[in-house]
Amino acid sequence: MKPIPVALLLALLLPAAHAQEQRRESPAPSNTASNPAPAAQSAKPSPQQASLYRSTRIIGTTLRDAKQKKIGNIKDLVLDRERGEIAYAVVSFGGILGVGRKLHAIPWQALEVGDDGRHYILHADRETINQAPSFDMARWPNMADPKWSSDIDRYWNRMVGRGPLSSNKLTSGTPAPGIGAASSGPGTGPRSDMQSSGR
Amino acid sequence: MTPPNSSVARRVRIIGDKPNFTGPGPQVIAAESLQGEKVLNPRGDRLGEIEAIMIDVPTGRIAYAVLSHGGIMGIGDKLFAIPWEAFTLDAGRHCLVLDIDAERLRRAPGFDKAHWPSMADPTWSAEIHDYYRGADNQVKPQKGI
Repeated sequence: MKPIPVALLLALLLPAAHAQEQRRESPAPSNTASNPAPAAQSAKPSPQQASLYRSTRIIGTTLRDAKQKKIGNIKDLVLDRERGEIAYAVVSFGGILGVGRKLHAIPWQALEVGDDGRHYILHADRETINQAPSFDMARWPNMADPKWSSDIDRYWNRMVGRGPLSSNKLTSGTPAPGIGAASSGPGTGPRSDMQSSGR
Repeated sequence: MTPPNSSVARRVRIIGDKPNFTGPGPQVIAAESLQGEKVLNPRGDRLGEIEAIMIDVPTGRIAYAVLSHGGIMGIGDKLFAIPWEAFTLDAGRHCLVLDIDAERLRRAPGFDKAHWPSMADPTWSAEIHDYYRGADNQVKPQKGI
């Protein structure tokens, strides 16, 4: 890594182990299934129960196109603290499109959860991705800049158009009726991302 | 992916925020950078570290931050799921702030790593929200509960 403008980005310390985490293709779902601890839960969680996940189980998830072809994966999530929502998924399409150092911020609402819950779907072809706004992974933009976010939102709203991607971030969605089963017990998969976080 | 950069102190990566961070406006944080991040109360007491961020995937809503408190090197600590709304961001210190007395947090409903609660349980959720509503008036119970 080269020196990073501190004002721009304060800690680019995505742990090395994080890379391994990203190889896993099944972060998001199945946390209930892998955790027998809560006695109240049956083996098959209801859809509502399955909706709450650790961010670390979303990060690393594979992104596929409408034809189920793998096109990238989720590297990070951008949280809008005040709205209490994910604003963007930070996605790498590297390796496939030859833009390894580039990251894309994609409005969360532009992504669709795959049928098996183990991947996300982005309805975008290669051309759309190639032309999408991106940034160098060593130089994250100021994502609170309305200009930046409105460009992103406008682009993906036009290209994907899954419902209203409101200007800068998401419609403040009504919380799902049931809060998902967040049960992620001790043995629920690698936690390398956290072990490497300096603790 | 980005290799670790040991020359940069590990802190919450605030991607953007208004100069006056108490005012309205977006505060944008990289989720990954929150892992293991310390949480203070307004007095500066260290309450613990962020163990997990719980996200409602269909809506993208951040439901809880799970705080790890006590213990040594992750052993013997107690976990607390705390409504996300209860946290504020200290842009100056680059950490999350939870307005709760350390002793009150110790008495909060918690769990250990081997026994995560069913967060789908409305009773559990209501109890949690009630508890931290006392700590911060802005915390509202979720709809549908």
